[in-house]
Amino acid sequence: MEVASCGQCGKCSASCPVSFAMDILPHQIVHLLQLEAQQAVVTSESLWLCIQCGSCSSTCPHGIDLAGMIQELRTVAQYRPEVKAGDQIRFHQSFLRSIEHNGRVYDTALLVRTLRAQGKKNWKLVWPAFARGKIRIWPSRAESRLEIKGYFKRAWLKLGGKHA
Amino acid sequence: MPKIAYYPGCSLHSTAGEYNQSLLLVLERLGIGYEEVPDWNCCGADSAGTVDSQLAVTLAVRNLVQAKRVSDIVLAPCVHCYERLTKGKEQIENNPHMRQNVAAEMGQELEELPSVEHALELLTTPDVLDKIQHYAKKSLSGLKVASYYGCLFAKTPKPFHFDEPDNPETLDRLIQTLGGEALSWPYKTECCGGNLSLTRADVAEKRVGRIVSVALEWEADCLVVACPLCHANLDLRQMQLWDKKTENRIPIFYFSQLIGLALGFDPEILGLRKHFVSPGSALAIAGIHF
Repeated sequence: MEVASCGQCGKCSASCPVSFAMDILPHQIVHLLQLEAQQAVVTSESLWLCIQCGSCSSTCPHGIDLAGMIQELRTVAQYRPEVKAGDQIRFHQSFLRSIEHNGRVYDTALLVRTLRAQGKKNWKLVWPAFARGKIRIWPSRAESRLEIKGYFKRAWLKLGGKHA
Repeated sequence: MPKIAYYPGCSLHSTAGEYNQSLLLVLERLGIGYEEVPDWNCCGADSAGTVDSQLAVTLAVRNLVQAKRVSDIVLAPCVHCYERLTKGKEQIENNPHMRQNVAAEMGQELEELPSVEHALELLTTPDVLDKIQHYAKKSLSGLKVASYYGCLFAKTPKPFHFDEPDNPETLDRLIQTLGGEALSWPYKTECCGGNLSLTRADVAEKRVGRIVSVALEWEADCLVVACPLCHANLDLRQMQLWDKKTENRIPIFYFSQLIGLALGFDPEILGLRKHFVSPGSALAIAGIHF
Protein backbone atom coordinates (compact mmCIF):
# COMPACT_ATOMS: atom_id res chain seq x y z
CA MET A 1 0.00 0.00 0.00
CA GLU A 2 1.33 3.42 -0.91
CA VAL A 3 0.81 4.91 2.56
CA ALA A 4 3.81 2.90 3.77
CA SER A 5 6.18 5.36 2.09
CA CYS A 6 4.91 8.33 4.15
CA GLY A 7 7.54 9.76 6.50
CA GLN A 8 5.12 12.16 8.22
CA CYS A 9 6.69 15.33 6.86
CA GLY A 10 3.34 17.11 7.22
CA LYS A 11 3.43 18.96 3.91
CA CYS A 12 -0.10 17.74 3.13
CA SER A 13 -1.48 19.27 6.33
CA ALA A 14 0.41 22.49 5.76
CA SER A 15 -0.99 22.82 2.24
CA CYS A 16 -4.58 21.86 3.12
CA PRO A 17 -6.87 24.92 2.96
CA VAL A 18 -9.39 23.50 5.42
CA SER A 19 -7.09 21.74 7.90
CA PHE A 20 -7.92 24.43 10.47
CA ALA A 21 -11.40 22.95 10.79
CA MET A 22 -10.40 19.26 10.75
CA ASP A 23 -10.59 16.85 13.67
CA ILE A 24 -7.77 14.67 12.25
CA LEU A 25 -5.15 16.41 10.09
CA PRO A 26 -4.27 15.04 6.63
CA HIS A 27 -0.86 13.65 7.67
CA GLN A 28 -2.53 12.04 10.69
CA ILE A 29 -5.00 10.32 8.37
CA VAL A 30 -2.06 8.75 6.53
CA HIS A 31 -0.47 7.76 9.82
CA LEU A 32 -3.68 6.11 11.02
CA LEU A 33 -3.88 4.21 7.74
CA GLN A 34 -0.28 3.04 8.27
CA LEU A 35 -1.36 1.75 11.65
CA GLU A 36 -4.39 0.11 10.01
CA ALA A 37 -6.69 2.12 12.27
CA GLN A 38 -9.28 2.58 9.51
CA GLN A 39 -12.11 2.89 12.01
CA ALA A 40 -10.80 6.21 13.34
CA VAL A 41 -10.43 7.51 9.80
CA VAL A 42 -13.81 6.53 8.38
CA THR A 43 -15.66 8.06 11.31
CA SER A 44 -13.76 11.36 11.21
CA GLU A 45 -15.28 14.63 10.09
CA SER A 46 -12.09 15.44 8.16
CA LEU A 47 -13.04 12.96 5.48
CA TRP A 48 -16.02 15.15 4.61
CA LEU A 49 -14.37 18.52 5.09
CA CYS A 50 -11.96 17.70 2.28
CA ILE A 51 -12.93 19.70 -0.79
CA GLN A 52 -10.87 17.58 -3.17
CA CYS A 53 -8.65 20.43 -4.27
CA GLY A 54 -5.71 18.07 -4.54
CA SER A 55 -3.20 20.31 -2.75
CA CYS A 56 -2.06 17.41 -0.56
CA SER A 57 -1.60 15.04 -3.50
CA SER A 58 0.36 17.52 -5.58
CA THR A 59 2.65 18.53 -2.73
CA CYS A 60 3.44 15.02 -1.39
CA PRO A 61 7.13 14.20 -1.92
CA HIS A 62 6.26 10.49 -2.12
CA GLY A 63 3.45 10.94 -4.61
CA ILE A 64 0.75 9.67 -2.26
CA ASP A 65 -2.65 10.60 -3.68
CA LEU A 66 -4.36 11.40 -0.39
CA ALA A 67 -7.25 13.23 -2.06
CA GLY A 68 -7.96 10.11 -4.12
CA MET A 69 -7.77 7.91 -1.02
CA ILE A 70 -10.19 10.17 0.83
CA GLN A 71 -12.64 9.80 -2.03
CA GLU A 72 -12.33 5.98 -1.82
CA LEU A 73 -12.79 6.04 1.95
CA ARG A 74 -15.94 8.12 1.57
CA THR A 75 -17.66 5.33 -0.34
CA VAL A 76 -17.59 3.16 2.79
CA ALA A 77 -17.78 5.94 5.37
CA GLN A 78 -21.07 7.48 4.26
CA TYR A 79 -23.22 4.71 5.74
CA ARG A 80 -21.54 4.62 9.15
CA PRO A 81 -24.04 5.93 11.67
CA GLU A 82 -21.27 7.27 13.93
CA VAL A 83 -19.87 9.67 11.30
CA LYS A 84 -19.90 13.26 12.55
CA ALA A 85 -20.50 14.96 9.22
CA GLY A 86 -24.15 14.31 8.46
CA ASP A 87 -24.74 17.63 6.68
CA GLN A 88 -21.94 17.13 4.18
CA ILE A 89 -22.97 13.55 3.47
CA ARG A 90 -26.55 14.64 2.91
CA PHE A 91 -25.28 17.36 0.59
CA HIS A 92 -23.36 14.89 -1.57
CA GLN A 93 -26.27 12.45 -1.63
CA SER A 94 -28.69 15.19 -2.52
CA PHE A 95 -26.38 16.36 -5.31
CA LEU A 96 -26.29 12.83 -6.69
CA ARG A 97 -30.02 12.37 -6.44
CA SER A 98 -30.38 15.45 -8.59
CA ILE A 99 -28.08 14.04 -11.30
CA GLU A 100 -29.73 10.65 -11.09
CA HIS A 101 -33.15 12.12 -11.85
CA ASN A 102 -32.35 14.99 -14.20
CA GLY A 103 -28.99 14.07 -15.67
CA ARG A 104 -27.89 17.48 -14.42
CA VAL A 105 -27.88 19.22 -11.06
CA TYR A 106 -31.09 21.02 -10.22
CA ASP A 107 -29.59 23.39 -7.73
CA THR A 108 -32.85 24.83 -6.46
CA ALA A 109 -33.90 21.44 -5.10
CA LEU A 110 -30.37 20.89 -3.83
CA LEU A 111 -30.39 24.22 -2.04
CA VAL A 112 -33.79 23.66 -0.47
CA ARG A 113 -32.95 20.14 0.68
CA THR A 114 -29.62 21.22 2.12
CA LEU A 115 -30.89 24.34 3.84
CA ARG A 116 -33.94 22.62 5.26
CA ALA A 117 -31.63 20.34 7.17
CA GLN A 118 -29.89 23.34 8.74
CA GLY A 119 -30.55 26.51 10.68
CA LYS A 120 -31.84 29.85 9.47
CA LYS A 121 -28.64 31.61 8.54
CA ASN A 122 -28.41 30.61 4.89
CA TRP A 123 -32.07 31.17 4.04
CA LYS A 124 -31.52 34.91 4.01
CA LEU A 125 -29.58 34.49 0.77
CA VAL A 126 -32.29 32.66 -1.13
CA TRP A 127 -34.39 35.67 -2.10
CA PRO A 128 -31.47 37.89 -3.19
CA ALA A 129 -30.13 34.98 -5.26
CA PHE A 130 -33.54 34.42 -6.82
CA ALA A 131 -33.98 38.13 -7.56
CA ARG A 132 -30.68 38.11 -9.44
CA GLY A 133 -31.73 35.19 -11.58
CA LYS A 134 -29.23 32.88 -9.94
CA ILE A 135 -31.79 30.27 -8.98
CA ARG A 136 -33.90 28.71 -11.69
CA ILE A 137 -37.44 27.53 -11.14
CA TRP A 138 -37.43 24.64 -13.60
CA PRO A 139 -34.56 22.18 -13.78
CA SER A 140 -32.28 21.98 -16.79
CA ARG A 141 -32.53 18.32 -17.82
CA ALA A 142 -30.60 15.96 -20.05
CA GLU A 143 -32.75 14.08 -22.55
CA SER A 144 -30.85 10.89 -21.92
CA ARG A 145 -31.46 10.95 -18.19
CA LEU A 146 -32.67 7.36 -18.23
CA GLU A 147 -29.30 6.24 -19.51
CA ILE A 148 -27.67 8.17 -16.69
CA LYS A 149 -30.06 6.70 -14.16
CA GLY A 150 -28.80 3.31 -15.32
CA TYR A 151 -25.21 4.21 -14.40
CA PHE A 152 -26.38 5.11 -10.91
CA LYS A 153 -28.33 1.90 -10.56
CA ARG A 154 -25.19 -0.14 -11.22
CA ALA A 155 -23.18 1.96 -8.76
CA TRP A 156 -25.78 1.66 -5.99
CA LEU A 157 -26.01 -2.10 -6.53
CA LYS A 158 -22.26 -2.36 -6.20
CA LEU A 159 -22.49 -0.53 -2.88
CA GLY A 160 -24.90 -3.18 -1.62
CA GLY A 161 -28.20 -1.86 -2.86
CA LYS A 162 -28.18 1.17 -0.60
CA HIS A 163 -29.75 4.24 -2.02
CA ALA A 164 -29.29 7.88 -1.14
CA MET B 1 -9.62 28.04 -35.65
CA PRO B 2 -11.83 24.93 -35.82
CA LYS B 3 -15.18 24.87 -34.09
CA ILE B 4 -15.07 23.82 -30.43
CA ALA B 5 -17.55 21.80 -28.39
CA TYR B 6 -18.88 23.94 -25.55
CA TYR B 7 -19.65 22.16 -22.28
CA PRO B 8 -21.41 24.72 -20.05
CA GLY B 9 -21.96 22.49 -17.02
CA CYS B 10 -24.71 22.92 -14.44
CA SER B 11 -23.42 26.10 -12.78
CA LEU B 12 -23.36 28.08 -15.98
CA HIS B 13 -26.99 27.22 -16.51
CA SER B 14 -27.98 28.59 -13.10
CA THR B 15 -25.91 30.42 -10.48
CA ALA B 16 -23.22 31.48 -12.94
CA GLY B 17 -25.51 32.56 -15.77
CA GLU B 18 -23.50 35.76 -16.22
CA TYR B 19 -20.31 33.76 -16.78
CA ASN B 20 -22.06 31.86 -19.58
CA GLN B 21 -23.50 35.04 -21.06
CA SER B 22 -20.24 36.99 -21.05
CA LEU B 23 -18.09 34.08 -22.23
CA LEU B 24 -20.30 33.36 -25.25
CA LEU B 25 -20.38 37.04 -26.21
CA VAL B 26 -16.59 37.14 -26.08
CA LEU B 27 -16.21 33.94 -28.11
CA GLU B 28 -18.55 35.31 -30.77
CA ARG B 29 -16.79 38.66 -30.94
CA LEU B 30 -13.41 36.98 -31.30
CA GLY B 31 -14.76 34.72 -34.04
CA ILE B 32 -14.25 31.49 -32.10
CA GLY B 33 -16.95 29.10 -33.32
CA TYR B 34 -18.62 26.79 -30.83
CA GLU B 35 -21.46 24.33 -30.56
CA GLU B 36 -22.94 23.14 -27.28
CA VAL B 37 -22.15 19.51 -26.43
CA PRO B 38 -25.31 17.68 -27.54
CA ASP B 39 -27.37 16.55 -24.57
CA TRP B 40 -24.59 16.96 -22.02
CA ASN B 41 -24.94 15.69 -18.45
CA CYS B 42 -23.48 16.77 -15.11
CA CYS B 43 -19.79 15.93 -14.73
CA GLY B 44 -20.47 14.45 -11.27
CA ALA B 45 -18.25 17.00 -9.47
CA ASP B 46 -16.70 15.50 -6.32
CA SER B 47 -19.93 13.84 -5.32
CA ALA B 48 -19.97 10.99 -7.86
CA GLY B 49 -16.68 9.66 -6.51
CA THR B 50 -18.18 9.30 -3.05
CA VAL B 51 -20.31 6.46 -4.45
CA ASP B 52 -18.08 4.78 -6.97
CA SER B 53 -14.97 5.68 -8.95
CA GLN B 54 -16.41 4.15 -12.12
CA LEU B 55 -19.53 6.28 -11.85
CA ALA B 56 -17.33 9.38 -11.63
CA VAL B 57 -15.46 8.36 -14.78
CA THR B 58 -18.56 7.32 -16.74
CA LEU B 59 -20.37 10.61 -16.07
CA ALA B 60 -17.36 12.56 -17.31
CA VAL B 61 -16.62 10.33 -20.29
CA ARG B 62 -20.19 10.36 -21.59
CA ASN B 63 -19.76 14.10 -22.10
CA LEU B 64 -16.50 13.59 -23.95
CA VAL B 65 -18.13 11.04 -26.26
CA GLN B 66 -20.99 13.44 -26.92
CA ALA B 67 -18.56 16.31 -27.51
CA LYS B 68 -16.56 14.27 -29.99
CA ARG B 69 -19.60 14.32 -32.26
CA VAL B 70 -19.05 18.03 -32.87
CA SER B 71 -15.36 18.72 -32.27
CA ASP B 72 -11.92 17.47 -31.20
CA ILE B 73 -11.72 20.13 -28.50
CA VAL B 74 -14.14 20.46 -25.62
CA LEU B 75 -14.25 23.73 -23.72
CA ALA B 76 -15.12 23.66 -20.01
CA PRO B 77 -15.54 27.05 -18.32
CA CYS B 78 -15.97 25.61 -14.81
CA VAL B 79 -12.85 24.47 -13.02
CA HIS B 80 -14.64 21.53 -11.43
CA CYS B 81 -15.97 20.30 -14.77
CA TYR B 82 -12.56 20.84 -16.30
CA GLU B 83 -10.94 18.73 -13.63
CA ARG B 84 -13.52 15.94 -13.87
CA LEU B 85 -13.42 15.76 -17.67
CA THR B 86 -9.62 15.75 -17.70
CA LYS B 87 -9.44 13.06 -15.03
CA GLY B 88 -12.03 10.95 -16.84
CA LYS B 89 -10.03 11.14 -20.05
CA GLU B 90 -6.84 10.30 -18.20
CA GLN B 91 -8.45 7.23 -16.62
CA ILE B 92 -9.66 5.93 -19.99
CA GLU B 93 -6.24 6.43 -21.53
CA ASN B 94 -4.12 4.99 -18.74
CA ASN B 95 -6.29 2.48 -16.93
CA PRO B 96 -7.25 -0.42 -19.26
CA HIS B 97 -9.48 -2.00 -16.62
CA MET B 98 -11.47 1.20 -16.19
CA ARG B 99 -11.62 1.69 -19.95
CA GLN B 100 -13.08 -1.78 -20.42
CA ASN B 101 -15.69 -1.34 -17.67
CA VAL B 102 -16.80 2.10 -18.82
CA ALA B 103 -16.97 0.99 -22.46
CA ALA B 104 -19.10 -2.00 -21.44
CA GLU B 105 -21.38 0.18 -19.35
CA MET B 106 -21.85 2.72 -22.13
CA GLY B 107 -22.25 -0.04 -24.69
CA GLN B 108 -19.72 1.40 -27.10
CA GLU B 109 -16.04 1.39 -27.91
CA LEU B 110 -14.25 4.45 -26.59
CA GLU B 111 -12.50 5.88 -29.62
CA GLU B 112 -10.09 8.72 -29.28
CA LEU B 113 -11.56 11.28 -26.88
CA PRO B 114 -11.44 15.03 -27.49
CA SER B 115 -8.90 17.17 -25.67
CA VAL B 116 -10.23 19.22 -22.77
CA GLU B 117 -9.48 22.91 -22.42
CA HIS B 118 -10.50 25.38 -19.76
CA ALA B 119 -11.97 28.63 -21.08
CA LEU B 120 -9.14 30.61 -19.51
CA GLU B 121 -6.58 28.41 -21.20
CA LEU B 122 -8.19 28.97 -24.59
CA LEU B 123 -8.56 32.73 -24.17
CA THR B 124 -5.00 33.33 -23.01
CA THR B 125 -3.08 31.66 -25.82
CA PRO B 126 -0.77 34.24 -27.50
CA ASP B 127 -2.93 34.26 -30.65
CA VAL B 128 -6.12 34.97 -28.79
CA LEU B 129 -4.49 37.61 -26.57
CA ASP B 130 -3.33 39.38 -29.75
CA LYS B 131 -6.83 39.19 -31.10
CA ILE B 132 -8.27 40.63 -27.88
CA GLN B 133 -5.83 43.51 -28.08
CA HIS B 134 -6.78 44.04 -31.70
CA TYR B 135 -10.52 44.16 -31.02
CA ALA B 136 -10.29 46.06 -27.71
CA LYS B 137 -12.24 49.29 -27.56
CA LYS B 138 -11.51 50.22 -23.95
CA SER B 139 -8.51 49.90 -21.71
CA LEU B 140 -8.90 48.91 -18.09
CA SER B 141 -6.01 51.19 -17.21
CA GLY B 142 -5.94 52.37 -13.62
CA LEU B 143 -7.80 49.29 -12.40
CA LYS B 144 -5.88 47.27 -9.82
CA VAL B 145 -6.94 43.67 -10.17
CA ALA B 146 -6.08 40.82 -7.81
CA SER B 147 -6.19 37.60 -9.80
CA TYR B 148 -7.68 34.76 -7.82
CA TYR B 149 -7.17 31.24 -9.16
CA GLY B 150 -8.50 29.29 -6.21
CA CYS B 151 -7.03 26.03 -5.03
CA LEU B 152 -8.36 23.52 -7.51
CA PHE B 153 -7.20 25.45 -10.50
CA ALA B 154 -3.59 25.54 -9.63
CA LYS B 155 -3.05 22.60 -7.37
CA THR B 156 -4.70 19.65 -9.04
CA PRO B 157 -1.87 17.18 -9.68
CA LYS B 158 -0.17 17.21 -13.06
CA PRO B 159 -1.09 16.93 -15.90
CA PHE B 160 -4.39 18.56 -15.02
CA HIS B 161 -3.18 22.10 -14.58
CA PHE B 162 -2.03 24.26 -17.45
CA ASP B 163 -0.25 26.84 -15.35
CA GLU B 164 2.43 26.95 -12.65
CA PRO B 165 0.81 25.38 -9.57
CA ASP B 166 2.48 27.62 -7.01
CA ASN B 167 2.49 30.86 -8.89
CA PRO B 168 -0.02 30.78 -11.74
CA GLU B 169 0.11 33.71 -14.14
CA THR B 170 -2.48 33.22 -16.90
CA LEU B 171 -5.00 35.61 -15.35
CA ASP B 172 -2.27 38.17 -14.68
CA ARG B 173 -1.18 38.09 -18.33
CA LEU B 174 -4.76 38.57 -19.39
CA ILE B 175 -5.24 41.58 -17.07
CA GLN B 176 -2.09 43.20 -18.43
CA THR B 177 -3.31 42.66 -21.99
CA LEU B 178 -6.56 44.40 -21.04
CA GLY B 179 -4.59 47.37 -19.74
CA GLY B 180 -5.20 46.76 -16.02
CA GLU B 181 -2.66 46.40 -13.27
CA ALA B 182 -2.21 42.79 -12.11
CA LEU B 183 -1.36 42.84 -8.42
CA SER B 184 1.21 40.51 -7.02
CA TRP B 185 -0.54 39.34 -3.88
CA PRO B 186 -0.17 36.27 -1.67
CA TYR B 187 -3.67 34.74 -1.75
CA LYS B 188 -3.84 33.80 -5.42
CA THR B 189 -4.24 30.09 -4.84
CA GLU B 190 -5.98 30.03 -1.47
CA CYS B 191 -9.21 28.10 -1.25
CA CYS B 192 -12.63 29.80 -1.09
CA GLY B 193 -14.26 26.98 0.90
CA GLY B 194 -15.71 25.20 -2.13
CA ASN B 195 -18.91 23.28 -1.53
CA LEU B 196 -18.54 23.61 2.24
CA SER B 197 -20.31 26.91 1.75
CA LEU B 198 -23.68 25.19 2.02
CA THR B 199 -22.91 22.78 4.82
CA ARG B 200 -20.18 24.42 6.88
CA ALA B 201 -20.81 28.10 6.37
CA ASP B 202 -18.41 28.88 9.23
CA VAL B 203 -15.48 27.38 7.31
CA ALA B 204 -16.39 29.14 4.06
CA GLU B 205 -16.86 32.49 5.84
CA LYS B 206 -13.47 32.23 7.45
CA ARG B 207 -11.82 31.50 4.09
CA VAL B 208 -13.67 34.29 2.28
CA GLY B 209 -13.03 36.75 5.09
CA ARG B 210 -9.29 36.16 4.88
CA ILE B 211 -9.13 36.40 1.10
CA VAL B 212 -11.14 39.60 0.97
CA SER B 213 -9.21 41.29 3.80
CA VAL B 214 -5.88 40.49 2.19
CA ALA B 215 -7.07 41.77 -1.20
CA LEU B 216 -8.20 45.01 0.46
CA GLU B 217 -4.93 45.29 2.31
CA TRP B 218 -3.14 45.03 -1.03
CA GLU B 219 -5.41 47.85 -2.23
CA ALA B 220 -7.06 45.84 -4.96
CA ASP B 221 -10.06 47.44 -6.67
CA CYS B 222 -11.53 44.08 -7.58
CA LEU B 223 -10.89 40.37 -7.78
CA VAL B 224 -11.03 38.31 -10.94
CA VAL B 225 -11.93 34.60 -10.96
CA ALA B 226 -12.32 31.76 -13.44
CA CYS B 227 -14.51 29.39 -11.42
CA PRO B 228 -18.27 29.60 -10.69
CA LEU B 229 -17.89 28.22 -7.18
CA CYS B 230 -15.16 30.71 -6.24
CA HIS B 231 -17.40 33.47 -7.57
CA ALA B 232 -20.44 32.30 -5.66
CA ASN B 233 -18.51 32.02 -2.43
CA LEU B 234 -16.57 35.26 -2.67
CA ASP B 235 -19.43 37.38 -3.97
CA LEU B 236 -22.30 35.98 -1.95
CA ARG B 237 -20.49 35.37 1.34
CA GLN B 238 -19.36 39.01 1.50
CA MET B 239 -23.02 39.92 1.85
CA GLN B 240 -23.26 37.85 4.97
CA LEU B 241 -19.91 38.73 6.43
CA TRP B 242 -20.36 42.46 6.49
CA ASP B 243 -24.08 42.65 6.60
CA LYS B 244 -24.61 46.38 6.41
CA LYS B 245 -21.18 47.93 6.08
CA THR B 246 -20.38 48.43 2.43
CA GLU B 247 -16.90 49.95 2.67
CA ASN B 248 -15.22 46.62 3.19
CA ARG B 249 -16.57 45.01 0.08
CA ILE B 250 -14.72 44.18 -3.06
CA PRO B 251 -16.37 43.37 -6.40
CA ILE B 252 -15.67 39.99 -7.98
CA PHE B 253 -15.52 39.65 -11.77
CA TYR B 254 -15.38 36.65 -14.06
CA PHE B 255 -12.40 37.02 -16.38
CA SER B 256 -14.79 36.82 -19.33
CA GLN B 257 -16.61 39.90 -18.03
CA LEU B 258 -13.37 41.88 -17.94
CA ILE B 259 -12.57 40.82 -21.51
CA GLY B 260 -16.12 41.79 -22.47
CA LEU B 261 -15.72 45.24 -20.93
CA ALA B 262 -12.49 45.79 -22.83
CA LEU B 263 -14.20 44.67 -26.05
CA GLY B 264 -16.75 47.41 -25.45
CA PHE B 265 -19.78 45.39 -24.36
CA ASP B 266 -22.30 47.07 -22.12
CA PRO B 267 -21.88 46.03 -18.44
CA GLU B 268 -25.56 45.17 -18.35
CA ILE B 269 -25.40 42.47 -21.02
CA LEU B 270 -22.28 41.04 -19.40
CA GLY B 271 -24.51 40.26 -16.42
CA LEU B 272 -22.82 42.66 -14.02
CA ARG B 273 -26.15 43.49 -12.35
CA LYS B 274 -26.36 39.91 -11.15
CA HIS B 275 -23.54 40.33 -8.68
CA PHE B 276 -24.19 40.76 -4.98
CA VAL B 277 -21.33 43.20 -4.51
CA SER B 278 -21.91 46.02 -6.98
CA PRO B 279 -19.00 46.42 -9.39
CA GLY B 280 -19.78 50.13 -9.83
CA SER B 281 -16.75 51.40 -7.89
CA ALA B 282 -14.30 49.31 -9.93
CA LEU B 283 -15.94 50.22 -13.23
CA ALA B 284 -15.76 53.92 -12.37
CA ILE B 285 -11.99 53.63 -11.94
CA ALA B 286 -11.72 52.14 -15.43
CA GLY B 287 -13.92 54.97 -16.71
CA ILE B 288 -16.91 52.76 -17.49
CA HIS B 289 -20.33 54.13 -16.68
CA PHE B 290 -22.58 51.71 -14.77
